[in-house]
Amino acid sequence: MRFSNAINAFVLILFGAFIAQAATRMPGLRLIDYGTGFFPMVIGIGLLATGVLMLVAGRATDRVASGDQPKPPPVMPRTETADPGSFFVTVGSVIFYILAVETLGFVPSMTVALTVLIRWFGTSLFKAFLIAVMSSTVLYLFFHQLMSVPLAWGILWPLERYLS
Amino acid sequence: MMGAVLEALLTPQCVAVILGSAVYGLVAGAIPGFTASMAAALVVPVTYFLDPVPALAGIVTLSAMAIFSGDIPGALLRIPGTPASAAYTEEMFQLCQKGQVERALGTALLSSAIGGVAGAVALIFMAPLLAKVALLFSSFEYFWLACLGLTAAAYVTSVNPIKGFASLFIGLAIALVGLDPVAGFPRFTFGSTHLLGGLGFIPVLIGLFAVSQVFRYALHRPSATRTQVEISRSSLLQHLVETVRGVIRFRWAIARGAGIGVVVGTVPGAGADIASYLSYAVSRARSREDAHSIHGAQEAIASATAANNASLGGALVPATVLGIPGDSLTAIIIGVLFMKGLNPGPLVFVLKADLIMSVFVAFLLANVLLVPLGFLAIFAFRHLVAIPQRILIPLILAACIVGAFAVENSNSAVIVMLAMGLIGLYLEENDFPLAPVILGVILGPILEEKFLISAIKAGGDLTAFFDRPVAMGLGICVLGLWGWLLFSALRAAMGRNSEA
Repeated sequence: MRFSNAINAFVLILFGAFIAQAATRMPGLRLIDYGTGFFPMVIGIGLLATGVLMLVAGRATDRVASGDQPKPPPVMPRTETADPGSFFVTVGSVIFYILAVETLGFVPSMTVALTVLIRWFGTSLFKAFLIAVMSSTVLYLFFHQLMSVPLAWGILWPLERYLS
Repeated sequence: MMGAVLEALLTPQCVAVILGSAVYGLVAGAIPGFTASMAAALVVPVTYFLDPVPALAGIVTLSAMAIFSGDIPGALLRIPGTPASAAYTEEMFQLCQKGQVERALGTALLSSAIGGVAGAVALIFMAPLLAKVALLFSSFEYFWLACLGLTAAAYVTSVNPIKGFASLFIGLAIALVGLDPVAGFPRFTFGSTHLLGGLGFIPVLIGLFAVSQVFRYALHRPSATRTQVEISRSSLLQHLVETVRGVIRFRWAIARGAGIGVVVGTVPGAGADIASYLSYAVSRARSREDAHSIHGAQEAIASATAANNASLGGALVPATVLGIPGDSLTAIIIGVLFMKGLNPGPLVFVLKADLIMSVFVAFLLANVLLVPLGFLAIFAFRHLVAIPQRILIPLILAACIVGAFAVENSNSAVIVMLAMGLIGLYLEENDFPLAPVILGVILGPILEEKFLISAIKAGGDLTAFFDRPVAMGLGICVLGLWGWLLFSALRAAMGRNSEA
């Protein structure tokens, strides 16, 4: 996920150009020249400008290099090597939850997502399943029963009248 | 007023929320990788269901607790619990290696509490005074103040100012989604009715601060081996006397740290991290103690931890009076203030003075409460810091998903959270700071509204932005700052090109 400053600059320029271009199609206000599109135009130009400056300046403005300010160490312990598999499984588990929650319900879909994720990170399947069931149920009880958040019942709907 | 404040704070619900938040903050801060901002972001959906005073008292309490308990994993595992703890983690760990774990954590705790109380007292006295001045401000002054706050935040929070500004513009761009604040025209909604109301603040917050960290963990999973220091079996209370002696010995370092914390905290974007680093650096420069001795390390810890906790009180001054957050944590607190109808600004000190003062007093009480609860936490959490992250991280993700859903009762909030998590991951991996993004999200609509209202008042004449004396002063400051930043960036670029 780490890219060179040139690529980051290019992304900023593209994003800024998109916003600025969209801003040109927005209507103005009746009394003044600054309408709905004015602020997006400023932001688009700002993104474009930072992109161009990043391209031109490169790492020259990086104050770490000059020793002005120490860069804090990362809070989350981490390795420098990337593990794309774990990343995609993590994102996949959220996408699975989004797609499945209406049909399966909160507890089953969260249990599946958590079991897969905890197992993938290196816990035994049984332990992963146990933790997933317990934590999904606790979250459900807290948010649905205590906070009245309408979490989906899904396939557990027949149990609704017993558990609510 | 004091009677009304105590009446608001001493309700069973409020006391329960304060105690619960204190325990949650201490637990969250003690877990490596769980920053104070992340802890606050995750609890915001719960505050949605609470009355204003308990909700805000809970948030400020957990913030004060989490900032201190971030020192615990730093001392025991050499992993800073929060970015602000990183400045003195090495000293704390070295003290622990020398068998001085109680002294290291005890000093951090007492200094944090003293710094926190100093910050709270400054907040209680400074905020109403500033509010009286701010009552004279019109939309012109607010526009320039918002510009000044955003500029300072973008400049201070990053080691590379260009990336700080890029983050700020990304935050402002995120805030564009939805109906525009003056004419009500839909922008960047792509025909979706879900986006007409804009991107929800809480899903954006949870995505940027919590989900992005979960993704980072997945991408760079560390090995399970850690060096852990054990707290001795003897009671911490046995070491209390020598810890108190140390705190008295370094009282001036603590006072200096608290002062630096309050002042740095009021600078938008600076926050606890910079206050802590600055105080640590000043302490090191002025200390007469040997840097590698036990007393030298204790002095550096005392000064930096005092600054660390004091900065939150300082940051709450511009946040509550002007609506300009000092750091990501106060940005979250501003979000909760808006959610609870206590719109930050000088008027809140006139119309809802009791409520806002209750929040300040709750912050003061939280810092007093920090001493007994902190001592218990140091002893009780020595095992908590060793919870395997392979189990903790998926559970944090589950809490993020439910938290995002809970506020809007819609899966689109979970989708927004996921998207923001990916954006946050991309930004952090490439050294773009996250604080200016969230400040941009919060201040963007205010900035635009103040600009358009002012422009309409002036009939489109931009010179009106410089007509009022305070507005003119602020405007000159902002334009001068922008000019200086542009000049610095161009000079750096030219210098690099000539070297090449």
